[in-house]
Amino acid sequence: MFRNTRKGELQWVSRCYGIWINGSTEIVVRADRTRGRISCRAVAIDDGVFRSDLAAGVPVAGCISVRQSFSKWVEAPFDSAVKAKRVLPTVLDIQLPFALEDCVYEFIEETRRQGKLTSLAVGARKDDVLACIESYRARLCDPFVIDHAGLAIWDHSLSEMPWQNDESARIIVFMEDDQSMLVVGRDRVFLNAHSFRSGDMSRVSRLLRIALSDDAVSDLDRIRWLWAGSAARDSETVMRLMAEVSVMWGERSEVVNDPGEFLARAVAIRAMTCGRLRCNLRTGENTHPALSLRMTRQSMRSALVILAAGLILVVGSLICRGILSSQDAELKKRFEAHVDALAGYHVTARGSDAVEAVERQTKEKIARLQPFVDSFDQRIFKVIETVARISAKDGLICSTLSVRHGHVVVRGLAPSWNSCADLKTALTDAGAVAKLDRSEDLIDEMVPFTLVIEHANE
Amino acid sequence: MNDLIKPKVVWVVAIVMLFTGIILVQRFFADTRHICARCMVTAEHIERLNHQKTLLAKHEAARARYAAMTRKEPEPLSRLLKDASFEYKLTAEDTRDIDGGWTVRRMRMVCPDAVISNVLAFVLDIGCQGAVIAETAEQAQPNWYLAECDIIASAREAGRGELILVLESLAKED
Repeated sequence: MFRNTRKGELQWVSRCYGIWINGSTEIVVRADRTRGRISCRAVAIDDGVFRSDLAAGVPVAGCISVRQSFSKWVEAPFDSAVKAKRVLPTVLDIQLPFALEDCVYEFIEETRRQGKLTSLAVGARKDDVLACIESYRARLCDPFVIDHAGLAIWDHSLSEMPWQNDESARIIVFMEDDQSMLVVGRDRVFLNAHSFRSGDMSRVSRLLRIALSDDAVSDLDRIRWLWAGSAARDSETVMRLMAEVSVMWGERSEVVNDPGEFLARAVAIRAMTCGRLRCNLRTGENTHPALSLRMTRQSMRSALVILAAGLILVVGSLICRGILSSQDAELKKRFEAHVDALAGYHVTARGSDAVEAVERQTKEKIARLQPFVDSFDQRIFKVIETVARISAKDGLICSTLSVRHGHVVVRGLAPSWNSCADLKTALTDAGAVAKLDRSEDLIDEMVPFTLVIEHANE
Repeated sequence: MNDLIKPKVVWVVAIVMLFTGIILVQRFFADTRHICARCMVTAEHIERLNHQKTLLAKHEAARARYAAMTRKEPEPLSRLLKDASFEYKLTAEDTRDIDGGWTVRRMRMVCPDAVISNVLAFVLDIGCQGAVIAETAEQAQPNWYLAECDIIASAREAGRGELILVLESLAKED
C-alpha cells in the first residue's frame, strides 16, 4: 500500500501514446522506447500512424484534471503502518466533501513526521473517472491508464527541470485557455494541486499563502516558477501574469520545453517507467480489459510455474523414494542371503536376531570342528619347549608342568623373587591371563612359585 | 481454453501441488535418514557375520584337509611306540563323535619314571607334534597329536619324572 517507488502500468510496452484532453482540444504525444531510452513526439489526433496503432492495440495513457480529482495529505495518529492502513481511509473520508465509497482512490506515498504517518491520497469520484474515460472513447481511444494531472505535472517537472540546490519551493502553473492548474511543492515533496480560472493570479496567491505559509520560503529567490500548458507558449502572457505575483512570490520563472505537450508527455513517460507518485485511477471494475487480461495471464503464468515446481518436487521425490526403497530392499535381500549362506538354512529371524542366530550356530559349529583345528596346533610342544629353555636360562627348577589347550600350570622353585618374570612374559600372549604366586622360603633361599596361564579365547 | 480455466482454481491446484511436493520431499529426507541408520546397522551386522565367517573358515579348512585324506585312520599308537626305549602304559579312553562321521580317539600314555626329554623327543619323532606330514593329500592320514601333558619331575634325579600324556587322533569309519 505504501510503496514510494512504483511501477508504471505500461512498463512492458515499447510504444505508448499520452493524450491530454482539455475541453475540445487534444494533445497527443507518441512515446517510443529504444534501447532503454524514451523519446517523445507530438502527433495529430487524426494521424494515420496513430490511428493504425490504436487499431493494433498500442496502449494510450490519459489523465484526469485537477478540477475533477483530489490530492490530499492525510495524517494518521499512529506510527505503525499496519494501524495507519486501517485508519487512513476513514480519516480521508471525513475530510472529503463526498463519500469515499463513491470514489476511486489510492494512497501513493508516505512520510513520517514527529511519530505520525502521513500519506498522500489521490483519487476522484467514480462518475468523474467514467466521464473522463468516455471523453477519451469519444476520440476513438480507450485509455489504459488514467493518471492524476497534478502528480504527473509535478513528477515530470522534476524529471525535465531537476531540482536545484538553491531551490526551496516550486510552483508550476499549467495554463490552458479557460482552466489552469496550480501544482505546488516544497523540498522536492509534492504538496497539493488546484485548479483555477486562467489568469486569476489573485486566487493563485491565496492558494500559495495557504500552501507555503512558513518561514522556509521567506527567501523569494529560492522559489522557482515553471510554466507549462498550451497558453504558456505566449511569453508575454507569462511575463504579465508573473509580474502580478512576483512581489510576494519571487521572480524566478521559466517556461518548460514544448509547454503545450508537457502533460501528454508526462503521462506517457510515467506510464512506461517506474518512479514516485505513479498512479492509475482506472482500476477495479473499470480496469482496461487488456490490462486485466495481462494481469490474469501473469497470474496464470506464476501459478503454472508454481504448479510445475510442485509437480517436479512430487515426481522427483516419488522417483527418489522408489530408487531408495529398491536399494534398501536389495540390501535387505543380500543380507538375508548372506545370513542363510552362513547358517546353512533359511533363517526366518530378522536383523540382529538373525545375526545372533547365526553367531550361536557358528559357535556350535566351531565347537564341533575344534578338534580338527586342535589337531594342527603345535602350541603344547612350544609351551614345553619354552618352559625348558627359560628354566635352563634362569635357573628355575620345575617340579610340575601341566599343559592343555588354553591352560598351563608350572610349579617349581626360582633362585630369586624375580626370576620367573621371563617365564611369565614368554608364556603370556595376547588375550592370556597370567597369575604368578610366590612365597618366601628362607631355608634354601629358593622361591617357590606357581604360574597359571589361562588363554581367554580357548 | 484459458478463459474457461479460472485462475483461482489454477492457483489452488498449484499451491496444493507445491505443499504436497514440499511434504513429500520432507518425508523423503526423513525416510532417507531412517534408511541410512538402518544401513549402518546392517553394515555392523555384516561385519559381525564376516567375523563369524572368518572364524569358521579356519575350522572348515582344517576339516577339509581331513576330508581330502584317502586314509581316514591313524596308525595304531601301539605300533608307533613299539621301538620306544622307555616304559609306558597305554590306556584307551572314550572316543567322542564330532562332525561328519569323524570321531576323536584318546589314548592315555603314562610313563611312570622316564627321562623326560627322551619321551618328548620320541613323541615328536613319531609325528605327534600335531602336524600332518605328507607329500600329497593322498598320502596323508590322520596323526596322533599331543592334547594334554602332565610332567611331574622326579625329586631324586634331574631330568627324570613321571609323564602323563594324552594323545588324540581323528578317525572316520567308512
